[in-house]
Amino acid sequence: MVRKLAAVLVAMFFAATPALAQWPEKPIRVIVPFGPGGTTDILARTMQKVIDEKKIIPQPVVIQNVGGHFSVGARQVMTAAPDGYTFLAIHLALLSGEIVDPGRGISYRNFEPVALTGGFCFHPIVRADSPYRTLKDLLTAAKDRPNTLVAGVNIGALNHMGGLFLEQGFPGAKFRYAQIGGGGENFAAIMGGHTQMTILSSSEYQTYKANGVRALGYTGPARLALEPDIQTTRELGLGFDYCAENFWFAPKGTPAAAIEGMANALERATATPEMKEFFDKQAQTGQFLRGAAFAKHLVDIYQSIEPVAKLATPPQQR
Amino acid sequence: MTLLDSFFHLMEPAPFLLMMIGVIVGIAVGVMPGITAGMLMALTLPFTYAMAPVDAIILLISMFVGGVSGGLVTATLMRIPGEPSAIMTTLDGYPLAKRGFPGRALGLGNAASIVGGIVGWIALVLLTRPIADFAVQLGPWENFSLVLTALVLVSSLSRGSFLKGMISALLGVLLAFPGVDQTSGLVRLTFGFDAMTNGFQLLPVVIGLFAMSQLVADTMHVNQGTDHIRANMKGVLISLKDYATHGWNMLRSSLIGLWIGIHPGVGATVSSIVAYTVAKNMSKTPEEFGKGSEEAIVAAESANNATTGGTLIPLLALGIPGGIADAILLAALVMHNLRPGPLLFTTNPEIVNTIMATHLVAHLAMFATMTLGTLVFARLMLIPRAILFPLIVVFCAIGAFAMDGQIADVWIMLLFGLVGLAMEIARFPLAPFVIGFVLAPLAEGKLRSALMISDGSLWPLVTRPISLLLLLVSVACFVWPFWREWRQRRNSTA
Repeated sequence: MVRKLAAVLVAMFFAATPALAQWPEKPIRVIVPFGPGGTTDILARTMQKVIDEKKIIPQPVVIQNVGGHFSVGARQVMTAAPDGYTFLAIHLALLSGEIVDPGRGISYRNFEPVALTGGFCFHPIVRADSPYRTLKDLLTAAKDRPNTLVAGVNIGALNHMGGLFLEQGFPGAKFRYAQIGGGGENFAAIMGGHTQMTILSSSEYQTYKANGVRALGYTGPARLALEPDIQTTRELGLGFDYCAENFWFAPKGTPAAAIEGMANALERATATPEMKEFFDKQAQTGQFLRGAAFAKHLVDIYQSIEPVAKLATPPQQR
Repeated sequence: MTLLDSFFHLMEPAPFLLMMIGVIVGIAVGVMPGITAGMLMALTLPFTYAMAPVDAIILLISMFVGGVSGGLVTATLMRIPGEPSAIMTTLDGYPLAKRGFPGRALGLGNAASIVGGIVGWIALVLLTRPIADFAVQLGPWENFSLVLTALVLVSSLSRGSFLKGMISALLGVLLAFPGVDQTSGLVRLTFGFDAMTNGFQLLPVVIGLFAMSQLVADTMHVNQGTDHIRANMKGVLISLKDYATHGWNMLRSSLIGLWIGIHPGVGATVSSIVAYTVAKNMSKTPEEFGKGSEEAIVAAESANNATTGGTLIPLLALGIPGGIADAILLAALVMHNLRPGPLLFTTNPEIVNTIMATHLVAHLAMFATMTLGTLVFARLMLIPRAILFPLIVVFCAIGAFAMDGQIADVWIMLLFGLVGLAMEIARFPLAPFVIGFVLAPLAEGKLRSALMISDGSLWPLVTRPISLLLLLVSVACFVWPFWREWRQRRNSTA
């Protein structure tokens, strides 16, 4: 009898909690669907550190890396309970991945958009002693001798799309794409003379620029403060810009209080001097978007990359 | 901060304590099967945020060194590799211990570890920059040929039937294919299971294949007394004469481990296998290998420790991690806003020097700890199986789960436990399976990159000199055991 009563009391206590709930009342989990050390991972962890140190959220924020294909981690968030305690930190890959490989059933539309915190754009890169002094030299060569200049990329990923954007902006130019991988691998391949060009993110370029590579342009809408001498692709007459921003999502159906709470925290963190310094050091832009503006931005971005992302689809998928 | 300053810094109480903690916890984790040094480092990473970068590096490098060395104890006393890199040590360490020389087996492995570590360290200090300059010229063709050479070496490695060894290796290759096709980013062969998107991950496969299968097999006769061997101190410190006898083997195996470690993605496990195979082929008593050969233990343990120095070279010089542990080190550096690469030598010499100094001092600390603490670590083996095994099973499950937080990985681990058990019963060797599994994605990725660069032509494989040389070596490795067997047969009939 006593036991039964205790059970009822316990059940009532737990049943009562959600009504009293004020987000957040337990630790928050952020899934980074990439291995540790990547651009998104570093951003999420720096953000977490700032949120923690400034006590912006009274509960701990835990970053969890899920390696391998980004869709694995994204799916974990997509199917997680929408209780307001699971979030996803990701970039443009969530949008382009849907176009490149639609069979995965993963779409940004299956998530609640939370916020956009800064982003990075790209540089076309050659070796410092390359005969191609300007982007025009490079693209002219790629037009005169199509499918001979080897561009090191990660097929279907952001650097591959960067190369395709260049081709779109300079009709007739055609690179020979080779699967090399991310920034580190592509830097090594260029230095070893195995590839003639690649696309590096602005932060990757900051890492490698002193070691024998040269940027021929910048795909951002305006010149980078760190690199005032590198012309943008629009200035060079290619008529496009191409950047990848840092997106935060929650599972569909997450309570508005949690989405607002997280967006508030990210907005406050983004405005701190610590985050500003981080964005500068990483050659990232530090803009912030949330709510309807962010949702609209996602639709715009999706439309702008759709034609190029289709071209990045590996042949066996077309 | 010069290298000397870094040594002095390590002698201060706080850094010294951190290093000892790292080494001891590393060894303990190395001893426990299923939990790797890489996993320990991953779990430690969050605790290093608050530390100064130099201290974080000291802790992580010490764990790396301790972990690779601790695998020896379990390999020798329980025939389970405490770390994947101790696979080869199980083949001979255990038989030697079983014959009544556990102290000797541990002592030899320990001595080989320190020699391998020191050789690796010397190379790390002297060669980092020049070797990185050279390695950058190795393109996908050379890398493919290198991996192929390693795969061929596996064929001469298998105990017993050559055919069973090949089948085992090819099964490993086959099971490496499901998951993300790294060349196109597309997912293949998942049979519609979302949990299969990342394919079979190395950790659940290795834990299942080596730890679980062994546990299940041993549990079948859990009451028949212990198979694990009581350690004694007899022979733990080997004599100078032993160093002289095994000196050439130690040096050769260390150099092999070092050379393999320099190549990204081919880590301590492969290096110990190659060193073991070379030692077997060069040995005057190859028939002793697999039955408790001292040469075998020395070869495997020198090589895997030398690899720790080797894998740090591309990490420091190019920012490219050589293995799982290096990937975690890279993450630690990046988290502290440090960027590995040639630039690190000028911008943060204290980090480069700390890594180099810690690598050496942690090896010395490891040697002292392992020598003095043999009985303490071996006591882990005296815990009754009924208590120890469930604990290890829990660790296996945690280990399989922890990497990606996927429960499916635990099922995969259990599945491979059954596969391993079945293979053991049918007397298929397990090591070639794992090697095929590890090397297949590398070989595939490099070859497909190469073909994309050459627009489909295979000719560069033989027109590029380094690639050609490596291919010739692999042919020689393939033919050599046959030729030797044929010659022996002819001699015996003559």
